[in-house]
Parts: sequence; C-alpha cells; structure tokens
Amino acid sequence: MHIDRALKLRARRAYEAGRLVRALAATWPAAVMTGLSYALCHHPVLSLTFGLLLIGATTSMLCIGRWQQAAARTGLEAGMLAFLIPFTGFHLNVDELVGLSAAIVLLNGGGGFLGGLIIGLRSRQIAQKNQFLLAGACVTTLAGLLGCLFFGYFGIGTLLIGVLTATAPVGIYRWLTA
Amino acid sequence: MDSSTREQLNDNMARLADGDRKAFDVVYELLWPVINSFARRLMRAPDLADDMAQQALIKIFYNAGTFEAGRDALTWALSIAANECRSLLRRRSERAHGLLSDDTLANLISDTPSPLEHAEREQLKVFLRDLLTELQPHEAETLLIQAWDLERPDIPAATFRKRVQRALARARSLWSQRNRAH
Repeated sequence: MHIDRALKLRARRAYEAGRLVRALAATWPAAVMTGLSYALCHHPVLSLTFGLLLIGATTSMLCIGRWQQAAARTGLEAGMLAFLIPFTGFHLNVDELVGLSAAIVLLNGGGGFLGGLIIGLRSRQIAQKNQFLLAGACVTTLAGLLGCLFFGYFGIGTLLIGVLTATAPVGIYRWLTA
Repeated sequence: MDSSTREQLNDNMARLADGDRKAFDVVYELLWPVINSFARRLMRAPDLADDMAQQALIKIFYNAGTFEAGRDALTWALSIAANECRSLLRRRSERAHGLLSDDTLANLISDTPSPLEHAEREQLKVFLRDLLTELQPHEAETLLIQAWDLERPDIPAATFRKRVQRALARARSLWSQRNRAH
C-alpha cells in the first residue's frame, strides 16, 4: 500500500513535470519576441518586464490546461500578430510615409484590434467564453506591448485601446445576455 | 480489459491530457494493473518486471499531456511501456557485455577480489541466474563454481580458466540472442 502511494505520487509528479516541460517549450515565440524587443528597443527594462510576464503567464496557463491552455495558445498566436505589425512597421519606417501619429494608431491600434478580434472569434468555440476572452486578451496585450514599445508610451496606449475595442464589446454583450 | 473499461480509460486519458487533474486517479487505477501484468509477461524476473512497470508508468504519465483524444489510450500506453521495456533490456544488455568483458573476467579469476570486483561478481550472479537454465549443464556448473567461489574440480588452474572463458563466451552469445529476440 505504501509503495502504491509512493508510486502514485511519483506518477503525479511526472505528469506535472511533463506538462511544465512542454509548456516551457511551447513558449518559445514569447522568448523570441522578448529577445528581439530587449535587444532592439530603447526600453530594455520594460521589454524584459513585459517579456517575463508574458512567459510566466503563458507557461502557467499551458501548465494548468483546459480553457486556460487554449487561451494561452490563441493569445500567443494573436499576440505574435500584435507584435509583428508594429515591429515590422517601425523597421520599415512607416511613420515617414503616413506620419508618426497615424503610424502609431494604424500599427499599434490596428495590431491590437486584429489580435483582439482573433481572440473574440476563437472564444465562440470555448465553453468558458468570457474567461477565455479575458485570459487570451491579456496574453495578446503582453505580446503586443513588446512591439509597441518601439513607439513609446503612446504606442502602448493605442495597443490597449485596440485590444479593448475588439474584445470588450463582445465580453460585455455576452455578460449582459447570459 | 473490457470495452466499457477501455472507453472509460479513453475518456479519462483525454481529460487528463487536457489538464483535468480529477481524471488522474481513474487513469492510474485503470492503467497500473495492466502495465504491471504486461511487464510481468515480458520480463521473467519479477523484480525486473516491477522496475520496468514502474518506469513505464512514470513515462506514460510524463507524456500524458501529448495523448490525443480519439486515440486508443490502452494501445498508446502499452506502446510506451514496450519502448521502455526495450530500452531497459538494452541498458541491461550493455551492462552485461561490460560485465562479461575480458577485463572483468581477468578480475574474476584473480584470487583477491577488490570491492569493485566483488560488486561486479554479485551483479554477474544475477545475470548468470537468468542464463543458467539455457546453458549446457557442464557450462552452468563451471560458471557456478566461478561465481560462487565453490570448490574447484581437480584440474589444472589454466584448464579451469579456459573452461570459464568458454562458458562465458557461450553465455555472452546466448545473452545477445535473447536480447535480439526481445
């Protein structure tokens, strides 16, 4: 009986260890985005803070599993979009073509809005729709912030507005009609 | 395992893969007896079978997150167990080859064994126990005398050493054949 209990405990630890290792491996896009932001952006401390928060949140959610895992995966996918749009735009000097303010709204706000839209659409397939929406939006925002930092604090603000514009109405509507 | 139990295992394994910890106990209770009896069928020595079953179970739970819903959980688990068994046998075989090397042989034949030689001699006993049933009686007897340090037959030491070498060579080949068969 004692051996059985010990074996069960070992099996449980192995299960959790397996989940943790796989979760860490699955967060590689977050690590790459953090690395790029840290190396190229002029706010290294903020890059590192947002990056570590993103990696920590994603790993925990993937470890937990269930809807949290789905939210982390979707959030990371949408977040890559929210990161890549301002990141690419900044390095292609889009602000010289359309002006700085317009570039910030288009790239950061647009990226955040698209990311939020993806989360909103995917949340239709999940039973815990609003929890999924909230968790996914947090991951998307953290990933997007790593790209928006290139445009300074104004970029961060427009990203938040973009994500909120896409997700908040969906969440509020669902909450009111539930 | 009947079909309803198998269904139950599939269902709970899928839930566990998705992160539902409540399914852990059910999966454990359903899988452990199956893996245990599977190991006992594959391995002759009960202590080795126990070791193998435990390692296989740990591996199964380590990989539980990769199980895809819709697959047969029992087949999936048994394939992991079979892989684990193969690697365990391979590791044992490598160890056995090390034990049956000429250096080890020379050490075994020497009169004053060191603690390391003593440990190797003890391990050799375990391997020999498995092999003895498959050897010719005179070969088994020679190896038993050598391993357990029994009274040697009234023959020159060099002749006895040759007999030990021949018996060990045959044991080595039997061991290789057995591992290839596995």
